[in-house]
Amino acid sequence: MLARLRAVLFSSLVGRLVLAQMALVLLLWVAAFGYLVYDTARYDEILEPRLASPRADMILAVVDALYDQPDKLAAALKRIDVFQRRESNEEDDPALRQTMVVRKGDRIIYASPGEPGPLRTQKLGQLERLEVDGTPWRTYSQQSEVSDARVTLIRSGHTMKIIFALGSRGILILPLLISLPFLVLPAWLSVRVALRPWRRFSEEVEARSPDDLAPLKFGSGYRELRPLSKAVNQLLARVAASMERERSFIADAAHELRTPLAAMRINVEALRSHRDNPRDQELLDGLVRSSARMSRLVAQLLGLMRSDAARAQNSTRERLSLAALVQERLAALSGLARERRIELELRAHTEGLVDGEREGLTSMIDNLVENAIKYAPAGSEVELGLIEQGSGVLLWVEDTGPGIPEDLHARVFDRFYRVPDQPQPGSGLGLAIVKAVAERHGVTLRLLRGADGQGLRVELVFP
Amino acid sequence: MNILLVEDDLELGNGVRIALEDQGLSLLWVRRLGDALQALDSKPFDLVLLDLGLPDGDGLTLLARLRRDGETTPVLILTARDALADRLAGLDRGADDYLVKPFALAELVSRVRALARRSYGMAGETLEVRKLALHTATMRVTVDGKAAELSRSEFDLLSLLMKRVDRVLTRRMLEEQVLPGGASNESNVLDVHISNLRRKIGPGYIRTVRGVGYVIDRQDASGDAS
Repeated sequence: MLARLRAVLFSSLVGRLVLAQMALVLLLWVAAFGYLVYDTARYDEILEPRLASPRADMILAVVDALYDQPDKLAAALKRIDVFQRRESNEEDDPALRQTMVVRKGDRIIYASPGEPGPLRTQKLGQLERLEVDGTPWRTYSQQSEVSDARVTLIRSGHTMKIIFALGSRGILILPLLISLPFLVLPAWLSVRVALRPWRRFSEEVEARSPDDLAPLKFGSGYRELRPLSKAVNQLLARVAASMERERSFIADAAHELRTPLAAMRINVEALRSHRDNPRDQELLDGLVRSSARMSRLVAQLLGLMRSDAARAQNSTRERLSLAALVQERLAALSGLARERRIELELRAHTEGLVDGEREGLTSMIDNLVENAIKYAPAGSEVELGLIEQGSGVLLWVEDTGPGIPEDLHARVFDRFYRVPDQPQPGSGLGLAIVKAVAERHGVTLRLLRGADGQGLRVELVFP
Repeated sequence: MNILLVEDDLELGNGVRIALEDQGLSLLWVRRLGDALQALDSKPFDLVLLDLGLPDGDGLTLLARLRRDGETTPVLILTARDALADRLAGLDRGADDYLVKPFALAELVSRVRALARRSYGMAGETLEVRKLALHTATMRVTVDGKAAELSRSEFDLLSLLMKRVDRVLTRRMLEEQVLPGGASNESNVLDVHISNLRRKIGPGYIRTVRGVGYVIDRQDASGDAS
């Protein structure tokens, strides 16, 4: 329990700061207490001439006024004595109570009951320390100016006794005990408020998406946070640079692959036109197909790298019509569709104006349509549609191919993941590109079954 | 027909040379920008096939020089750069068409023929698809030798489709190019024109891609909607 409390207090900066503040309060209190002890030992304030003298004057005035009426005087002095004992609510504690002795000449006309009894004092008008049977007392005596009356005020000389007596009544400890909880809460609050920049700093770091490598904005305004924010920014910059290197390496590599690929294809196709033997042609067709597959893979790799770069650079957006873009892409891909005897159809019920990157959206649409054409059975139809949905636009691509089993829906967007046991060649990059572009545009991506529970329907909801 | 091929890659250049020569086209192949400029100075070409990344400079500088000199020789760019910005840069500087490596032989041949025809047939060319023929200069259209009477819009539509045979032209593009007042989502004027055109030239030529546009296929494929 204690260990846990310790762990909580010390493992939190707020806890540490509050603890430090409380320690400081305690230290100050101990210092104040020490000073009080020292001060009490040095002198008793009540018997200091400054305060004791008017009090003695008042008592002597009463004595002088009732000089000839001893009965009345005795009664008056008794009442004064009771008042004095009650004055600081200390009548029952011998260490704390204040007593007095009144004399006329050498005759005692009043003495407080109990210790120390009538003391004989020497000095007038100042604090005097006396010892009676080993017990220290402090006294103050004053002589009347008009008669032989003299009053002596007496308090205990035991400093420690006074302090412990006060302590036992909670006069010294109680304020601390009462005030500590009231101190802890404001201290905790103030520390939390003071540490708010720290929390905002961590919130900014936390809110970062993994591919946002721009320098942190918050934190540089506070001297204490600056080294940390600088270190984090330097790390971000290094990561960004290394990602950039990786991207440009892949982009360069993909680029460099294109020319030899083009050469391979054109040479094989030229050779094919020289060959009449069907077996030769079959083999050469295989070469053409693999080179086409490789070209597609290279194009997709490039697309993906470009898409990453676009995300990192927050590339420029423009207002564009999805209807026009989809129409344009379908026109471009209709050759492929015709090759596979697939009929394309677009049902555009809206213009579908969105803010987006033309290039990214183009490659997203291309990949979806190419996939649909690839997996749809020959002679079937691939349908695209565009319709307003709420405040956004819904774009769908539907084919009558084998579809994607539901349990693989989450995985098909992974790079290089391919649904097992399928005859169609592919890279496994197409849907990864679609997902990357969709995420960048805040597009919700859904995989559904086709109209008759057959095939695949991909829905994209643009905000 | 004289074609200048500017391509530094040995295998690609040689492959393109042999493939195009097989098609009966005559071709001069150079591998450097300097050689290309020299060749262009020495004799006229009907078409330039231009690679952009050359060892002694960017192909775009050759294109820029060609256009500055007022040459209208069609230029088809062959390049490994496929980013939209790169493609636009090439077309902005006066290239006529753009082919991204790697390309299919059929695609290359069809683009080369289309561009060469353009440079050749300024005086009036004849576009032919199967039994359909369109004479640009006389604005005459014949089907199997018999003349078809077309309106101006119908003729424009047909010539656009025949110039880009095998390529689907989007409704939007056709509406903008042919119809007065440009594209409009609601109207079916384009469909009316196409249906009139089909009635006049006969079925089987103009294929609809529903919602997308129209195309004239060089070869009739059975099973396709006409």
